[in-house]
Amino acid sequence: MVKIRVIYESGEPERVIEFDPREAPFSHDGEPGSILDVLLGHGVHLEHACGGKCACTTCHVIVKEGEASLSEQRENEEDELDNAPGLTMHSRLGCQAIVGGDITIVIPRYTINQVSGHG
Amino acid sequence: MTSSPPSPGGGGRGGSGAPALYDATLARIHEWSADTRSLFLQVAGGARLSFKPGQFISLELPIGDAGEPLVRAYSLASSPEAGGVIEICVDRVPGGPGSTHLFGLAPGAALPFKGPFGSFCLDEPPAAGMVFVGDGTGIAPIRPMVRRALERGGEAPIVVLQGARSGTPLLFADELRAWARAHPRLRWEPVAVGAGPAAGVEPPWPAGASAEPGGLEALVVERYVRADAERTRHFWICGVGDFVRRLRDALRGAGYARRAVRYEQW
Repeated sequence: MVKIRVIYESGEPERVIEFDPREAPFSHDGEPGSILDVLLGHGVHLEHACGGKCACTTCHVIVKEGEASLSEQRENEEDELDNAPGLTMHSRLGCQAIVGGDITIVIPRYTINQVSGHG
Repeated sequence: MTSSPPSPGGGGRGGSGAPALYDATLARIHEWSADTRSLFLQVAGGARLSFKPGQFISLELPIGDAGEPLVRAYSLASSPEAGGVIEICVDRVPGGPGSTHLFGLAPGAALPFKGPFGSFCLDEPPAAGMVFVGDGTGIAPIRPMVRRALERGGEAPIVVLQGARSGTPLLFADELRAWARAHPRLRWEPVAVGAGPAAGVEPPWPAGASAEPGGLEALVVERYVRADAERTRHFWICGVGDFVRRLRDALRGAGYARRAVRYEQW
């Protein structure tokens, strides 16, 4: 079993998910076995405005531990991450990063693609 | 961020950094073909959505996993200036839960959405030449971008390469043709991808439309990579499938600036 520990920058209580990567996909969205796929399939919400197709940055997460357990970043993920606010050296898109071992992630408070009150 | 699914709120309700959730209803359907439709959404309360040409919205469909709505993103085919009704283009995907649900809706149905999202857009056009490549419903986000580029003026040439596969409609063809007639710097080129239009479907293929067995990809590579050494153009590429990423790689690899090659792969 593999473990994802989810920490919220907003201060919400953290969540821990244990799962078997061989059972992916867990949901309809994101790469099978990705952080997004695992979270959604285990009842943990993560924004994914584009439906998990690497077309926005709303599933931006910061990897605190276990970065080497994630799939390598590809060019389309890098292109999108360029637009993520609060980009760090440990930023990933939840829909693209496939989980192979235990990780700890931080969900940032805001994303650039989020709007708050047009019209 | 919350760990519970969002619930529909009033038009444009935001709050605590979460994306705005709009209430909207399906106002009208335009059937391009049996498998492609435009859906026109009326935002609740007459609200007007503020967005950049090329951006998308995320429909929250009540058919998701574990209490989460199913999120399906659709590019806005209408312009920000067009008013309170917004337009999206939907292809029927065999077995796809999102499109199957959308094709079953009648006018008046509720369609809550979040947005706008995305960085595949054109807000202020560059001074350099612009090339838009849209395959199928990939023309949807390109339509408002071209309109914005034309409205902002300038002299830079604009090329729209619009691909349509055998048996599929050429969306917005009348309008794009009219724009090209009115603006000499705009060149609109429909490209019949594969075997060309099928019997029973009569897209308004103009005389001289390109027929490209290799599709848009071969045409773009031939014209903008092999045929000249000009590398200042800006590209916007949108469609379904790996051709989008292959074109990105071909153009960047040929020397176009990374940020001048924008793309959205569906």
